[in-house]
Amino acid sequence: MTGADERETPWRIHGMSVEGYRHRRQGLPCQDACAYTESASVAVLAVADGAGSRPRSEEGSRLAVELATEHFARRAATAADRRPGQAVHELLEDAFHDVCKVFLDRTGADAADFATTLTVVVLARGWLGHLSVGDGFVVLRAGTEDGERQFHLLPQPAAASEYSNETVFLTSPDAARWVHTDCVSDDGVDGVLLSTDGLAQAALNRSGGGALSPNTSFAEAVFRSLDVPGPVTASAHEGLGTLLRSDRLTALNADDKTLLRAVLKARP
Amino acid sequence: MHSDYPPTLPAEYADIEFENNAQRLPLVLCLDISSSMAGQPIQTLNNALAEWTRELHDDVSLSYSVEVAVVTFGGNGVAAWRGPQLLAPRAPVSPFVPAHMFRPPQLAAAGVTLMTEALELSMHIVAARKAELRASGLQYYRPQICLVTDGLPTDATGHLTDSWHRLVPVLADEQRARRFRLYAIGVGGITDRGEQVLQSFAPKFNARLQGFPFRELLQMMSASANAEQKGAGDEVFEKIFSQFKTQRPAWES
Repeated sequence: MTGADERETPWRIHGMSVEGYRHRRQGLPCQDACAYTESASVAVLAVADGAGSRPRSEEGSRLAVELATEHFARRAATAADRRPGQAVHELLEDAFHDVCKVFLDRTGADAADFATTLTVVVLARGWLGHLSVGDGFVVLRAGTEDGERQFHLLPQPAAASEYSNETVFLTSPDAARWVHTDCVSDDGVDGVLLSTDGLAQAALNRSGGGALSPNTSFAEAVFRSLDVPGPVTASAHEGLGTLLRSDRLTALNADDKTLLRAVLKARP
Repeated sequence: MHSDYPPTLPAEYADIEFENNAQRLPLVLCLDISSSMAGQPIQTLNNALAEWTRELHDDVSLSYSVEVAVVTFGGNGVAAWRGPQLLAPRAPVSPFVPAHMFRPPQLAAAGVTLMTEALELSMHIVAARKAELRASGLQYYRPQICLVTDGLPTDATGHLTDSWHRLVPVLADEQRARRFRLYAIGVGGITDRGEQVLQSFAPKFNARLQGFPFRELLQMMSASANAEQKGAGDEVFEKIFSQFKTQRPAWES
């Protein structure tokens, strides 16, 4: 997973959050947020979905992704040579603990007003760490089968309720109990996509019984457009925005939408 | 406000294939069409259903998510409708129609007020629909049942009956378990006793309204469906409902 230049991140990263149809119609701000940070040794990507029912959730989601990129990157930088496995799970949990502590300190007694989900991916050399609270999701691109790129949905935390619009938040009293972590060690991973539940219907397919799998045509398209070498162009940025705001996606889910994607830059 | 979103996908994403797996929100309109609704009231109801249907079709966020079923009580008893089509009793067909395909039935008023049986049928079709959605792997929101009546429960011969008492503990359990939200609305000349029945059925979401404000009622159901999709807390539903009761359009503000 090493590029030609050791000082440069091997990942090309791009994404955005856009307000959904319902919020736009009601003149409400986008309550989703995403952020990332990158260095030569580690990249951290984070997405968050502020609770529609809470008054300051758009601030909550922004604060969550800012804190996540900062604290997960700091923890990962001091331990980038950690071997995949238990040590990575612990690193993720410790970083989450840091995030929660600062989040609750900053929001104080009104923390519940800032309720938000949080999904984080840490891309380090030799491993990929994933932590999620709430209903965000992560799809990886790794390997080929019969010439077809393969996509994999990382496991999500258990559903909190029968109803799809009810989930667990960073600020939920027992959030730590609902946190899900993964450590993936696979040099074949060359694409990572993070999203909030606003894209769950577009990006994931459901089989009878509810088992989820990536919508291959969706994953193909959003990775393909980032595989183009060089910096992300204004028109590529605009294209993703147009996709996320399209009526076609709105009909599936009128909520805010977030897509943060990373692909491994082509090896020289 | 009309959507100003681009109608088509950008060229680079045009080959994405989507399944129709929007999260579903089952909505049952459980409507009194007994003889007391004859004349202007039933006409007002038919008109309101037609107008609401148009609005629902135009609402991008509800049209692929909300599924509408109509249950009526009147005439010879209790009936389920699949859009405009009256279903035979125990027909193996779901009465739920996706909102973007829903067309309202033309209702005529006659007969008795089998309110208890209509609510039982409403609960039954909601439970059956949830099972179908689960089996096909689709997610759903908490369903809504909206009971609308201008009278008191009767038996099949049109005599007042106390059989509705059997429903009270059942509905209390179901609502406590959050299996659906029940709205119970009295219209027209509903009596104090009629109102008490509705209060027993839906302690939080009951109302006694002047006249036949079906338009506002259906708009309130849409507003609640929107709140449900947003994951709003109970206080939001209570606010929408209380503003509806005082006939101020909360969903406009």
